[in-house]
Amino acid sequence: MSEWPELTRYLSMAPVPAEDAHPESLDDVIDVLVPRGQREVGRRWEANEITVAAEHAATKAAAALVRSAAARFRTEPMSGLKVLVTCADGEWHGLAAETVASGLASRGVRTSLAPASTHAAQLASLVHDDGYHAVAVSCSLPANLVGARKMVVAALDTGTPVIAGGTAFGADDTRARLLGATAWAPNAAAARSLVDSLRTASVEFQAADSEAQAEYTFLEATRSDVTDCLAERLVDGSPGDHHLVNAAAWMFRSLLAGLLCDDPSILSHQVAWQRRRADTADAPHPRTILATLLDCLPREAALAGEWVDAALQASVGSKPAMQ
Amino acid sequence: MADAVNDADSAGDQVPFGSRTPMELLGNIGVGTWQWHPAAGAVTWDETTERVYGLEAGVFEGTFDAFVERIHPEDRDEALAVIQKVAEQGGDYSIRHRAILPSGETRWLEGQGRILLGDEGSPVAGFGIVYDITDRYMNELERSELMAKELASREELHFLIDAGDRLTGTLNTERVAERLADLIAPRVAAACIVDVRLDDPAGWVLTCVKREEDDAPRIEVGSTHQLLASADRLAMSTGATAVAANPDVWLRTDIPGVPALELADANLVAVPLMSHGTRIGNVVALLRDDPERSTTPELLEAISKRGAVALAHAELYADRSRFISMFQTRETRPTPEVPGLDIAIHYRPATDLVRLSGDLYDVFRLADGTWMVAVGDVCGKGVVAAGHAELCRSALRAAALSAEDPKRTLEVLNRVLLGEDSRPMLTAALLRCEPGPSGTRVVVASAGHPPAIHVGHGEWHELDASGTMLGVTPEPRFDVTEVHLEPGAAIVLYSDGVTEGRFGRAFFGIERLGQTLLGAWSGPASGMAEDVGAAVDTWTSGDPLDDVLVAVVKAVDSNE
Repeated sequence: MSEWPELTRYLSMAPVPAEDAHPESLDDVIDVLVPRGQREVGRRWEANEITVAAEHAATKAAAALVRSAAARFRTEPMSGLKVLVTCADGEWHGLAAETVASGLASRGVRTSLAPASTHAAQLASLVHDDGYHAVAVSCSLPANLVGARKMVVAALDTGTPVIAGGTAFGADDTRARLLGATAWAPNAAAARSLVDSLRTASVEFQAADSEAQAEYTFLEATRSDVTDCLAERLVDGSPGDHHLVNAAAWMFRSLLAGLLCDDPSILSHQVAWQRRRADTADAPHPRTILATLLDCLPREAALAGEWVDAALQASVGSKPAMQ
Repeated sequence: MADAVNDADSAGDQVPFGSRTPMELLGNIGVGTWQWHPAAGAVTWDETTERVYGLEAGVFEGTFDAFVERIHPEDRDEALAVIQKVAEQGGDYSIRHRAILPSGETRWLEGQGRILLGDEGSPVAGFGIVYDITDRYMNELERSELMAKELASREELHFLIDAGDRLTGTLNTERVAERLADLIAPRVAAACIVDVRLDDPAGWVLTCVKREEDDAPRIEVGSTHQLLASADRLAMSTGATAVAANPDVWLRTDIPGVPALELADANLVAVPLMSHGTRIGNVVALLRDDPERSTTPELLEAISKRGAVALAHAELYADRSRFISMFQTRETRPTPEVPGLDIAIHYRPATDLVRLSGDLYDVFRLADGTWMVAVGDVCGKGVVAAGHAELCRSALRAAALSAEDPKRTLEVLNRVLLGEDSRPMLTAALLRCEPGPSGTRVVVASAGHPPAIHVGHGEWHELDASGTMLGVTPEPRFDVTEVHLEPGAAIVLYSDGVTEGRFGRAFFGIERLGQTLLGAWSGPASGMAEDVGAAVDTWTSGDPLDDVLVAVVKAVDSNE
């Protein structure tokens, strides 16, 4: 294979097994090499083996690799189909979205990437401006599924079908369906084959009819009360209190995402992740956060309270919780 | 005629039917009986059966053929087929057919019969009943016709409601045209062409074709030279629904790979697309009689009318959107590559419907080969602020190119803004960067903007350049400062949306900004900018009330 500096550079930051290190197609890069590499980078960061700056550098190198691979392996001729790829509202690392966009573009779809950090409220004008046939919403972290849902609703409101994808959606279409997406795609290849069939699909947003989603709607509406309460208890002006706020905000987001998907494991995974970070790096222990969050939740949010309480009990060990 | 059954009932007789035979009783309620003797080739009808067929008593000829003759010709084959089948297999049958009476009147009859087979398997006898069901049948028919009509109009209503949703859901002209074509064929027409005159002085037109065999419509946008048929149709259309003449022009598509439509056994109907009294396009459709669904010109008109409204809205939107996009160009412009510097901008406008704001940023090269990085914030919000920001950006470039240093640039810019009638006011921070072999010399100037931050080697501090907001006073004051940026160190400019982001009542503040930058300072500039963006976003629960802008300028080893 000819010289490929982007590949060499990425592999120097994110080692992958030897058999994956010689990609021969775009899919080898976007479905195998980069996901494996990023998982390894994430693991090292979580274990405090590398700094956040090194993680950023690897992500930047991954994006460069994906872009160069898209140019190297362009396959299908252009079709008339136009797809807008966007991250979930509030999701910051555009790598996943960029990956999907490259995968679709190399398969002949006219693909645009929404500007980084586009709000759901701004999505409609992007869709109208260029008249996309479909919107692909990418979401990597389950806590950001709340933001993904905002994008889904905004796109469907324009009568445009939505394909949901990314690790946050899990291994089947359950979460995508609960969020109201028209379809779910595990990778760019699947997304490509969906675009044609969705072209003339009639689309309408339908909220899932569940107790958990009703509670999500309630909590979303009373959200500022919860954050005011969290701010009162967590912000003391000491250096690093923003780590506490950051941890609490992610915990709350994970709780909301869990309610949306009727799946408490989104919260418990967040708790487990924060505990691992607390063990290896200078990060707050989830116990404090959960106790504060429990205090700040409105009484009416019974299911949310139950989940947070369960997570709190699990995080203090097997001792019975205070009554 | 006496009604025996009612007579008997009213008498409350122990033996209500008297001496009448069951056949006589049946005859009284209009049920006739008959018998068939295949060996003798004879058919016997009782008086009631003769009456049902409109005959005087004893007139029936008594043959099978005479019976067949009285069946309505359109029902004859079906009735005979049923009888034939039972004559072969034995058993019971039921038939419904029309009969033509000697008076010429047509009546609906229903008959039930049984045919017995002999040992050899051939029919030996048959018998059965027959009665008139005309009144009941006509009622049923009327009801089912009414029901079908009701269902059809309900279906049509749902179709139009759904069509309205789909057409108005999008504000993009191409997608409206496509959805319109998609709604028309195959539901309303076997095929259709939608032509739209685009709001463009160069005479661009759009044509969209859908045939019943297509999965999706085909669309082409081009000049009138490229899409001749479309232009001809638009010119020829009279502005009223019409059965179009000259199929040659009306059916050509001009779309590569799509042949002209074939008229076959359909009607060619043209409907104008009208917007505020002006014809903006037309729909040409091939309507074919289809008993399964309504494919009337009226339905085509109703759907086209909705299409025209949606197209008019889309054109109006496109007009506004093109205007607004002039102020969004900075979003799509990539940050230039500057040797010796790693520059990254993070920009997240507040949650408005369109990405517009009074924040501005710019990176450009000056005449002496140095680079200018500028960040500013215009007072006000929305489209007006965005317009002012664009004015300030152009004025800043002009001022920077002609002025000898950043202080002078700000003075010139101040004069320009003071001369504007709309009195824009601007805070700005400028970095004039001169990358060298061992780091970058940076001149920092500020006009009422939050102070720049220096980050490097595990510490951060604010730089003390200060000055007056621009566009306020004719005698502004600007104190510049100069910094030598070693490779790895960075200067960060930001908007007040960063430090004033709120979590509950608490501001994000300068301290947390510095801490966040320190966490990422050893990585690329993009990581530092993104981390600040993410921290502010988390702090404000994803809903920052003000625009968030962070510009990171990092010196890198120029050999890197």
